[in-house]
Amino acid sequence: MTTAQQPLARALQRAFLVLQARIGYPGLIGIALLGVSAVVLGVAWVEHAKDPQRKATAHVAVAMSAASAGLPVDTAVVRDQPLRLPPRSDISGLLARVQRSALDQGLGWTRAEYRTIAASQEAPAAIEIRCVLKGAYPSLRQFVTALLLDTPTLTLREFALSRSTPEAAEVEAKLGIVIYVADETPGMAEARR
Amino acid sequence: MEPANTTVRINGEAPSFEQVLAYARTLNEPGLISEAELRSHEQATDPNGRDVVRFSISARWAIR
Repeated sequence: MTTAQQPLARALQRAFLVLQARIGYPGLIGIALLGVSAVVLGVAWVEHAKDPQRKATAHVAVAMSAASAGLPVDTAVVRDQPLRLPPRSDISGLLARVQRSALDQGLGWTRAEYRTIAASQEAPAAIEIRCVLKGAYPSLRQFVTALLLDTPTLTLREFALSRSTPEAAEVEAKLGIVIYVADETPGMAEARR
Repeated sequence: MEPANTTVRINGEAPSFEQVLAYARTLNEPGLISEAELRSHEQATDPNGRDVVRFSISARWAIR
């Protein structure tokens, strides 16, 4: 060890002894574990943020597993399939499926607002649907489950439930639904037709 | 209509939501208008008592 390093080593040793005297070995082990978990978290976050497509897949996988709880669906098969974003030109078809799911559950599709979100570096393009549905809780739950299973690139951004009175059987659900789509130029859409 | 950014908003009524979507698809066929996207819809009753769907579509119009 060089003469320049000796004071630093002595200072570190002194700091370690002071810390040990104050918090003991259990405290030191706790700090070490926190450090290790911070490093693991950091590495995981860097890997996660590398690829927006993989991020979208992860969201879908979480949504799928949540939605399929209690349902006879082979989620392993679903997870193994690569995520394919529906084309932006098929938004009408996607909206028709959302409406059909609501009608199937007897919820009606009386009013909604729609907004398209352009693709960014973090996320693909998307269509956002905001609506308020009223119905029995099981119907609302089945509607959401059916949406998540039917459209793999669909996520829930808002799902707020309320009852007008504690005794009311009908639940009002405020929903924010986002469906990720593949952005494409008009030329690409025409070429596919 | 917004001439500055070549956008046009179409408000209308249709007998059903399916027909609103079909109309939006028709607008997207090659022509003067493109990028037609549904912005909102609402079920209502017209003065004759018929159920209708009021809708709003935004689109881009091409300058030739």
